Amino acid sequence: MFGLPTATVVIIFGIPAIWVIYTLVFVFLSRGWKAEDVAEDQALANDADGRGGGAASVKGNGGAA
Amino acid sequence: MNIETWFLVIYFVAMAGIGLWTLKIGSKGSEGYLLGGRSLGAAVTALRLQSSSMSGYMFLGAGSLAYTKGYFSLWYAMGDIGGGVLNLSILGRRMRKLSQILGSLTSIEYLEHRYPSKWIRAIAAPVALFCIFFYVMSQFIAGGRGLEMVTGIPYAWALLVAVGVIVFYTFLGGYLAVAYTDFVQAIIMLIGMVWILIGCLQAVGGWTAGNEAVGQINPNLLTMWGPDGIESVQWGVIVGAVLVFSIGYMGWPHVNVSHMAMKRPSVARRASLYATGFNLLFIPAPYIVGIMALILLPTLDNPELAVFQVADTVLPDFAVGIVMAGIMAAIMSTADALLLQSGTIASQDLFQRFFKRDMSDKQSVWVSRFTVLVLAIIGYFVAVNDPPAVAEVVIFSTTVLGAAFVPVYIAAAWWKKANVPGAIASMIAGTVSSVVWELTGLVDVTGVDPMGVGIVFSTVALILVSLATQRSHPVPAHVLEAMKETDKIGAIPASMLTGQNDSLAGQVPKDA
Repeated sequence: MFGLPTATVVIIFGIPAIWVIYTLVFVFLSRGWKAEDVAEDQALANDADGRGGGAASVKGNGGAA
Repeated sequence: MNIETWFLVIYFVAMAGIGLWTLKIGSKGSEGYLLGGRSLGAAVTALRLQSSSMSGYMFLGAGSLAYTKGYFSLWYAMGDIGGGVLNLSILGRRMRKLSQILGSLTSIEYLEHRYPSKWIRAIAAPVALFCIFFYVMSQFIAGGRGLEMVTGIPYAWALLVAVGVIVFYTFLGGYLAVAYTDFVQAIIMLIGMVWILIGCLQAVGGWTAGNEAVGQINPNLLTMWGPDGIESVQWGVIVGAVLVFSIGYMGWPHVNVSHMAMKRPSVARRASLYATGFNLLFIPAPYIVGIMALILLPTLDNPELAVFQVADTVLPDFAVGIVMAGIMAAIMSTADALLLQSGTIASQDLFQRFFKRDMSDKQSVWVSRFTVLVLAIIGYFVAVNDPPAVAEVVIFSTTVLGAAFVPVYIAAAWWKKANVPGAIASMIAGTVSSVVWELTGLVDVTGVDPMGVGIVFSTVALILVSLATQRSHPVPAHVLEAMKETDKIGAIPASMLTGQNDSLAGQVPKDA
């Protein structure tokens, strides 16, 4: 195929296919990470309301540096 | 001025414009300059990560390797395609979260916070700075050669222009400028490379016809075993080739800083899709162009110019201009990340940490900028006087970086027993073993790649020494707490965020 030996074809298409599958599996398994964004949005909203105790991932460490 | 030069001028002005723009929109202070205020989304994170790790190697080294070794060279691409997703899936979310909990602004500082000892930074910073300097120099050389070829101006002047533009926007905008220019440059790189590939395949009559013609030169060039056939194949080199650009990424401080600058830890998830998509389209192209150059340019004197020369041969003038901008983009997007990282290491990880602890944010940014300038000047003079081969320099410096840092970065995020003595032993073992392996010629004798050797040594050292010293050097409670919090999917409680202070080895939670 493509004027290439079979082993070459298998390797140059097979390994990228493995990476694609790895990516899709990772995206599927990490679908729960959305919950982290929701929790952070909530914490930030609480901060804005003055209820405190919030969190900070999206705020950075800001002035801490 | 020819049309190619005009395209490059427009491109340079655009990059400088982004530098000025980020100067206006960027947040001030160290976190703003060094991490872009931790504000970057998935697309910018992914393409910044990819373009800064691709480098001029993709246009010079990859083409050269393919021109001399045929399809064997694609082993490097096979690892490279998965490098982005591997890095994002293993380190991405955890490094982002842990670095914020520990209050780390640089990827070397992160190591010291995770393994609290000044010796961590005292060892990591010089090793990283040394490797990154050689790496950045190779990018300067690639940029100078590219400009020289397109514009016809002498190498020394071409180098000066390339270095000048990179320094200009890195100097101004810091991480944000680097991230946004890298994002734009990744897109230009992709367009440029795909254009060369299409033009090249059209010129040889299609991929199949091209392969058949290459097979007539030497059928072994079509195999994955090298031009001398399977009898001479060095499996260790193949394993190393795959490792260098897949696992190896996770040890590169200038790449890992991308995780720390993400807007949210979860950005890593979507960024992995962009990274793999970009890699699939971009990475194999220069290798295939390099192989096809054997037919189009059979008497090429310098194989490193294979991709440049093919573009010049098969594309119309206006397209060559865009392609050349893409080539410069690959070079500059790595060089700027490396330069910024060098400045960061010198200012934050060495100067502020060991010499002037009471340095203000503003002073720190200026020390970083000054370092960028000094390194660029030194790099320019070394590159202009005695330019070594780009591929060799890139592979050597990235090999040492990978061998020294891959285990400590992975263990920092995942292994709660990884402690200070283990990390120190790992970095030393990885650096020494890979350098000795390379310099003493053991690669040729054993057929085993120095990256593979270095990673085995540094991993074994990390595990054995950490386990042996658990009692004498336990992992501090606040680090264990931070790691437990990183395990959880949820917002970081405010009480977990430590302020950054100068007694870094003694970081404790605010409420402790």
